[in-house]
Amino acid sequence: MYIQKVKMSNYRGLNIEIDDLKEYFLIFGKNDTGKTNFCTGIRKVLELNARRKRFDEFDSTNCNKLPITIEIRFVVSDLTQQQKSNIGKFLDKEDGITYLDVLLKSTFNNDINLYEDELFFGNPKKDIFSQEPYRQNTLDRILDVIYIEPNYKIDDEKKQYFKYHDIKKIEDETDFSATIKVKIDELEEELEKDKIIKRMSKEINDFASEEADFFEGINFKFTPNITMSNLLKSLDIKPVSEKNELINNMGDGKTKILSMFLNDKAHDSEKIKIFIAEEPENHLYPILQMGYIDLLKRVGSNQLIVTTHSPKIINLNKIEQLVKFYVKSGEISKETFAINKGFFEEFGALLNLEISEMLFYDKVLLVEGYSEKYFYDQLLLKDSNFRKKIINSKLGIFSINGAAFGKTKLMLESLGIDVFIKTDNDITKVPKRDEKRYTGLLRCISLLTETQKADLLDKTGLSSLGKEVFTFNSECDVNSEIEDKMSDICDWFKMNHIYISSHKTGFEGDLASYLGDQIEAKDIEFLKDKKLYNLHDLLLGENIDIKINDSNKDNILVRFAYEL
Amino acid sequence: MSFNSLSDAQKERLSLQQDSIINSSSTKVYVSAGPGSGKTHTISEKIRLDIDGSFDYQGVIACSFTKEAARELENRVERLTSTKTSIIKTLDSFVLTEVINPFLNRYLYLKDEDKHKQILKLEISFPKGNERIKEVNNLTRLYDGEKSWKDIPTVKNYVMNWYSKFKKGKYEISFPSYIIASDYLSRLDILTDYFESRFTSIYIDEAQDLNAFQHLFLRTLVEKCKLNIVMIGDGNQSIYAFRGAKPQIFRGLPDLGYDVYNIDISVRCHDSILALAYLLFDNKRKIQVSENRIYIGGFLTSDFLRTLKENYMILVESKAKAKELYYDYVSKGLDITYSESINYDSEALIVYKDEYMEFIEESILFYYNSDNEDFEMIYSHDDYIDFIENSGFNTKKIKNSLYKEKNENVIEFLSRLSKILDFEFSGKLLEELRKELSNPIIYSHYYRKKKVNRIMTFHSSKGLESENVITVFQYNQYNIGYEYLRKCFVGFTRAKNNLYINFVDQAIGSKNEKYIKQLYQNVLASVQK
Repeated sequence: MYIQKVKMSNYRGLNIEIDDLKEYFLIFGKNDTGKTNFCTGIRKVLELNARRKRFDEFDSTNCNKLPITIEIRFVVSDLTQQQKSNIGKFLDKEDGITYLDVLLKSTFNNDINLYEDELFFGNPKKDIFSQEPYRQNTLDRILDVIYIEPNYKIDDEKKQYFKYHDIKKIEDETDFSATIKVKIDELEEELEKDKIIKRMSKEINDFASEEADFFEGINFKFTPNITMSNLLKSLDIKPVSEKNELINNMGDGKTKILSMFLNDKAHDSEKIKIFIAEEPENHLYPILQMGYIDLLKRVGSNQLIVTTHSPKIINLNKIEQLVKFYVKSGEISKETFAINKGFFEEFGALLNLEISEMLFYDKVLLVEGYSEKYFYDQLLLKDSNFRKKIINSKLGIFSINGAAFGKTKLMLESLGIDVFIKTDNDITKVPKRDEKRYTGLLRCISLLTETQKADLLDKTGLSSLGKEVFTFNSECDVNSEIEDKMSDICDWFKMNHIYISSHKTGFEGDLASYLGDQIEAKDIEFLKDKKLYNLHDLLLGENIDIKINDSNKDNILVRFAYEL
Repeated sequence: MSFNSLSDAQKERLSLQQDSIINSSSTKVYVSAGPGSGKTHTISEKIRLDIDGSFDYQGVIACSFTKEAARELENRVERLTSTKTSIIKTLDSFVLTEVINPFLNRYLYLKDEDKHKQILKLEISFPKGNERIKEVNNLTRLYDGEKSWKDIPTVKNYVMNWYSKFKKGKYEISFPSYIIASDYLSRLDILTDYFESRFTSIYIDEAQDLNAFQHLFLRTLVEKCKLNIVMIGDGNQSIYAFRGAKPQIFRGLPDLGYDVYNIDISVRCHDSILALAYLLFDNKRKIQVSENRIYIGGFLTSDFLRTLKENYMILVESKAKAKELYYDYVSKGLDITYSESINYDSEALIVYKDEYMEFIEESILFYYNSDNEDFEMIYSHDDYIDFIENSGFNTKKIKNSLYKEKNENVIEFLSRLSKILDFEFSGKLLEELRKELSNPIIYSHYYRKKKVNRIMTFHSSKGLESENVITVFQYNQYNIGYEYLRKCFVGFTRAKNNLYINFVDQAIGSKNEKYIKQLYQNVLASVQK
């Protein structure tokens, strides 16, 4: 069972509906885009203690005191018989999928200056059942929200953990061993015999006897506060080394993880668990961040909702969905992207890291190789105007494998991030055949939507965009038909944010024309020889000025900057 | 008679019979339990075992024929175990509150997706007026469970009509409810899944009075929700054929896979009375009784009645006769009660029947019995709150007002309550009720008294008992049918110690008089042996 849809109206600036949530999803977005409020809103509906704290005017958008509603729809499956007996009455089925709808409706009461809540189970268009909002309901009995806050509160978690086990041991009709009781009684006896305690006892009891008028014969004795019934409250959990020596301070990272675990264990394992972890990256070393979601998955839950500001937390293999919150024209809005299984598996963990970083930019320039990336790094260093422009437009420059362009572009654009691509117009030989192919162009064509493809055909007069059009006999160097249209083709791609040169000399050729007189033809040969190594020498060694100027501002390498 | 007057052998036999039912692990149980057989005890104990043996989130469904009986059963079971997760109601009430109402929109939406508009509250109504009530009874009778009800044009028509009103939110409590409820079960697996996880079994009391539609519904319920079922009844006490009761379906259950159990010991009736009762159906039956407690003829004079040491019950065949005798006895100073409930089909009250009948009935009952001297007859405040809540009101803020106030008469009570619950009774209605309740016949229907002498119709005596029973036969039965014999059976078996039989008016010299007198001779003869 997991949350599939959340709809909020007038709650702390959120008027939002997301109806395709998956079991493991991650929320990201700039500060003040409503991520935390979104989580708080969910907790308000599903946690009894949160429901008991009434909304006040500050919970409404701009304190408008208008009604606030929060709707949650669960997809329900694999319920145990007990769970079915609890919520079965409220379920609905549509297109073979079973749902549970929960609605919280709050209306402002001017007399008490607080909101009054109404809680309902059931599809609002069909059978609705009113629930007492401030009492435990049947959903509370079968479902827990486990909230992991950004700054762990280990003491609170320890308390909750002990309290839970205290109650559980009573329910299970078990208790601590008899030996412990004996020891506690012994402690009391020993205390009575102790010199220091005796002295204190005498002091007090002498006073009590002297002032018999006031105390009327009452005496005092010293007892330990530890009893069988509050034993758990008196315990602490302390870290020890492998040699069983007490460790002074375990450190934030480990404490945070322990805190999360205790939080989880303070809830019945049979219940449905919805984990909400906010900014779990806090206090965690980056490498640990990378394994955190995996850890949460191992701890086990029916649904995992994570909000984050850290690319290291995002593990594209382990989460099913990205949700981006952003503000547009003063309104909070969202985009979602579902990650199908295997989407990024083929590209490996390192690629995941790069792509995760991209999510935090408004615009992204994707380039194919480290040479290109190095060039832009240098340009950012040396050209302050360029740097300012890039920073202001919140653009990130990333180098990834050309084969990953398509999937990455798709994901980023679904999440509202503008994508620019710089790639080479390479021609490669088709293996085992006497053919060559315009690989670069085909790569660019694969990045297009159907609409864009149609437009490309229209504007360039190409007969089709199939592989055969761009494949030719290997005896030739180029295909003259394509070459005739090359300039139009490249211009069209430029208009659509894909930057590909007409020449076939790759990045080196681009750089050569960019640097103009500062470089000779033989230098290009030198560059091609050992790629980045030579580039480094070239750009740092001789007094090369790589700043953008009037003669190179239209170069394919920096053309994208026009769009910023 | 009482448990203690049974012989040891009989006591043991009774215990054995009851225990075998209580401990039976059959999934389909058919119990034929005669009068005074300790039915309520048996059902309660079986339910207790059922609830205690299942998960604490599970419960049972138990249905009685009347609200009174359901309340009594619930009270009995509550003394034994927790009824928190169980539903103990009348079958009509169960169907409406657990099936039809909660899943209303989900069902109608499934049937009629595009056209269905959400219905927030069902308008409940009852068949009103004698003509209509007769019509519904006739139609209920027409279907005997054999082919399909759709093959009976008048029934089909009525159901179609009923359904088209139902789609718009109007619900009449009559037989089509069961057809629709069966359809709910066939279409909504969220409903059947829910019931399957929530309930283990269903218990039906007075199963001999179920009509064919109710049987259909129960069959579907048991099948789709995988419930165990216990059907308890006495085929010999089926006297509601005129309303569509089909005891033959009940009697046919053993052929449908039900395991059969009998309780043939009566704790209530003296053995001569029981013998006479069973002779009605099989006059060749072999009987042996210790002494005779049956007396024929001439026991209707007020002088005679005054001689009776213990309470008595006079059973007659018509309300008119009951009233006639009642007024006569009262004029002669006899301490006797006759009661009738408020007639909601009267011209003045019929317009209020749908909306207010249930509320008025329960509230008057509560008013008169919240502090009844007889502790068993008390209608508790908690029960009244439950009723108000189940009618859809939130009682949180008004719980403390739902008491009768000092010096407040019943009409003032009703008026005040109706205001609190926001459906303020009109002055006209209150005046009408005041008139009704000022009639002692009506008033005494609501003020429950156990140890009292009563006069009533045979039909009203069902479930009751008295130390002395005086049966009065008025009519000439040209054909002695089973329904008539069952009526006699019910009447006779109300008696614990003594049974007096009188024939008056047209019954004098009738076939039925001869028949009963002959049976009486058989009993006498067996004593002499």
